[in-house]
Amino acid sequence: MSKPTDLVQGTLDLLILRVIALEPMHGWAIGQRIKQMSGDVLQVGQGSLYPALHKLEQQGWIAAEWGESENNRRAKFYSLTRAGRKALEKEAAQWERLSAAISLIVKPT
Amino acid sequence: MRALQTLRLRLRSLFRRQRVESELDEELRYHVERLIEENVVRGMSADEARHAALREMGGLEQRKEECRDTRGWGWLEDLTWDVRFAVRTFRKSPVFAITVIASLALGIGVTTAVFSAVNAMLLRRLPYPDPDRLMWVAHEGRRLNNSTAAYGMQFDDWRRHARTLEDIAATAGAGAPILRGVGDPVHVGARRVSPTFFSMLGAPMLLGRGFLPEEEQPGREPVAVISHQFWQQRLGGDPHVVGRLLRLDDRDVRVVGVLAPSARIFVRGAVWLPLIIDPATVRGERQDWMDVLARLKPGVARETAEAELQTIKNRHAAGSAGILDGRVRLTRLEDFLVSDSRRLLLVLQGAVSLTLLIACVNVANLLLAHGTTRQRERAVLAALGAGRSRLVRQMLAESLVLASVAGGLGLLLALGLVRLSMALRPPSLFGTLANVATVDLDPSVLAFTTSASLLSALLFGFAPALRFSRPDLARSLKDGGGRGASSRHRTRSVFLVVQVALAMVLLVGAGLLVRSFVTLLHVETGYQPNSLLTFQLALPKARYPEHVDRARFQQQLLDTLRTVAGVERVAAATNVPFTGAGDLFFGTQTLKSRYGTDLNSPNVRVGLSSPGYFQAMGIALRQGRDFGEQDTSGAPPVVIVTESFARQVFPRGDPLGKTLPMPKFISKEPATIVGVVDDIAREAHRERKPELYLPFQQQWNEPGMTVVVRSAQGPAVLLPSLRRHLHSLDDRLVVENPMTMNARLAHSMGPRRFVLAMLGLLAAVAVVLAAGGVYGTIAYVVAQRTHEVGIRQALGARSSDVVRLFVGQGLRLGLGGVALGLIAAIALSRVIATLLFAITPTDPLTFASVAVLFTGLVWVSCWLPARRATRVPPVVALRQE
Repeated sequence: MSKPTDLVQGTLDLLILRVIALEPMHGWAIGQRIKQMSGDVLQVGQGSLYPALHKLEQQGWIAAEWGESENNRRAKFYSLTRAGRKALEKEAAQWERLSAAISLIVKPT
Repeated sequence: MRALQTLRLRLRSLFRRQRVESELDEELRYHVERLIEENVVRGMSADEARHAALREMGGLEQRKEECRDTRGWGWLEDLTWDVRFAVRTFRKSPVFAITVIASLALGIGVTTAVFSAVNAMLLRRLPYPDPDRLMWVAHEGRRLNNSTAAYGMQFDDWRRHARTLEDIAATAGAGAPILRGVGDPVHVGARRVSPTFFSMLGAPMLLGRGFLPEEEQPGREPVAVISHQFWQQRLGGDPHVVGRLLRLDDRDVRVVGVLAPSARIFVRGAVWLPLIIDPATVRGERQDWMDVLARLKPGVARETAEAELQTIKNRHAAGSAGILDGRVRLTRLEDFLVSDSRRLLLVLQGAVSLTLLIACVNVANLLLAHGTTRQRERAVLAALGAGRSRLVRQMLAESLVLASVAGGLGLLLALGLVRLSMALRPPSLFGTLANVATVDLDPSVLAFTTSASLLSALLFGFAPALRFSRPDLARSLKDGGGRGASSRHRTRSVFLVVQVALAMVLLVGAGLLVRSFVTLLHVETGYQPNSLLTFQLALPKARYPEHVDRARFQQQLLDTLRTVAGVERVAAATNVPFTGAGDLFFGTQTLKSRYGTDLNSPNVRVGLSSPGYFQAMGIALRQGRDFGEQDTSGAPPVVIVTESFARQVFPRGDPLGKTLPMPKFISKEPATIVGVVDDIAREAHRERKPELYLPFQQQWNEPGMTVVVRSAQGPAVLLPSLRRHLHSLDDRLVVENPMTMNARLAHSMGPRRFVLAMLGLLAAVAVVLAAGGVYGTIAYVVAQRTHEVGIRQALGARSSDVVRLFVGQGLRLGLGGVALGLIAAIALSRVIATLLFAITPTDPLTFASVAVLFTGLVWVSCWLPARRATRVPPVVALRQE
């Protein structure tokens, strides 16, 4: 397998929002889920997840709450706020357009 | 919602930092632990698993820092760091920091204190309604602020006929009647006012009412309005005071009102009585002078009203000799009240600005020098990736640290100085104005200091910041400390020259004023103020109705006092200098028509004196004789004139035996001149003006007099026995205001002394700052060139050569400053010309001594650091970067 694909800047935010749209999740789980959902293609750098989470929290798109993790330990759970949901829709639409455009160019005709 | 959440998070991270940090720690630790677990599952050992996990995280601390950055307080943390860094820097070069802080604190503190005084006196508006229409009515001829306003007759005419005025009111002294029945008998300050006086000044009543128009008619029940202070302090705030009778000079006076504490009246008084306008006053037979205030009708120009009052005066004064002859003048009351001190205060304010400017230039110069020495340090920071704005911010932080420390210290200094100045403030500071204004630190002054300190922070922080934020990296790093581009040297040289010049201007101004003050103190007064005790006495009209009664008592009194042990001479007069009593004047037009000669003053001061007064005062009798026993009320009227009067009216020929026509209220017959005495100097300006003296025995309308006692004994010993002898004649009289003549003289100089002390303080600060500035700059230049000094000395230069090199360089600049300062001082000294006494604004002595002083200061300031540089062993100097 090649090196984990470097995430295009800004896409990490989109992925996080997307993942926690399903249910509140803590940082470790978010990383795991992204990896799993992308079929192990996308791998978030272990450390870079947290600054992104804190930034989103400061922006008011996600909110944090301490809770119990699946292995009964205290963990910080992130969930989507209403503003975050709106942002997700917008970002997702934006991504659709962008990836479609890129596909048009990159795909051999 | 979102904004709220953000705000909540930011505040939380700011104020509950510990908690937020521990949460961050826990969150990341959880992640690491999961990683470790995973690694262990993959078959690593515990240790391996941990290392691998941390490696994967890419450094735990860096991640934390990235998370912290998202909180948006980066700038604050940067600022904290900048401030800490600044403090460390200043600790490393304490002399620099102390000099800067001391300069600024001195500048801010001293200027704030002086500005507070100026603000209280000049800038704060007087609390009178519609001040632009409120006028002081006076007669030209004497200095406006002392001028006799008008006689009762004129006031009455004006009130009846003036069409340009909305209102006109008058006030006159009422002596100091004795209050009995409330504690010990005391003199209370009393004034008479016309009915609309209080409303014109917007002075409200707390209790009762003001005066009614009919109360100024003679023969009505005596009524009084009392001041709030008198009510509180003397009458214990009696709630039923309205209607109460007060025993004043053996007369019952009914209280009708109490002034509100907010009432600010420009003359002091405890008891206010109605100003009675009786028929004799209206006919001009009774001389009763009063201060007149007028309120113009809206839209009426000052000049129009002035012309109208002049016309009315001319029309009605025709035929009544002895009325004030000067032209009628209106002055805004506000201007009138500050006129005396206005110019002095403005000069003071100018001096304040100059001092602050010098402080700022000083600090700018020091920071500029400091900035240059640190160019290499900045270059290193820039090379390490610090952005331009980051560098500017750091320099600004340094200035802010300095400015806030200095601002705080300055404020403390100002508070102390204001306290001190209040303590030193003479009771008569700025004359009447002291009653309406108090000096304290007020918010606008605070704003002034704050902006001054912030402005200087920007001024001296930003200029160097911009200059050095673009360091030429390669050159700076190679250069090892930036041994000055010449343009920077030039800026600092200009600063130095400007600083010296400004301080010169200030010192020349202060020097001129102080010198004229000292001259003033040593002016011959025309009398002998040493060993002279004076006190005032009023003989109530109730018990001494006629002037012969008063004269008889006076003679008895003087005879009795003469027997007191240690008393050499005793006499009495109404116009003893600085007693503020008995200022009588009359016009001189009649003299012109009679003798065809003119006096240089339209009004002549007239005083009453007892036989032996001139001898007791030490006033020389030039010609003729003093008053004597023979000059009784039945004898032909006599008058004694002063020398300048004689010289001006009788330029050729003998004044003795000539007769002078007298105003109606003084005498119907002309008085014969029997003597000529020396002129005496009165008031602060000490001009000698023509005066007349009349004997008590022949005229004595007003009940007051001042007794003068010449004795080698001090007042403490003398007063009790004087009092005892007085009370053996009449135990109901009260000795008022006993003071030695020297004390009266000093007292009269109080306000001027105070202002000069302030000015002297400013000048001293300016000189210290300028000297410090020169020293700092030269010391810096020398320090920069220590290396060069080392080379020179290694090559065989003697230390005297090196010293001469630096001193020469500094002296060139310093002399430039001195020259510039002299030119500026000559230009500016014209502003204070009217404040000077007996010296010209370009007084060579002052200018020369200030120039010499500054040259000396510059020389010392250059010599000290230069000398120190030569003491550094060449080996050390050569190694120095």
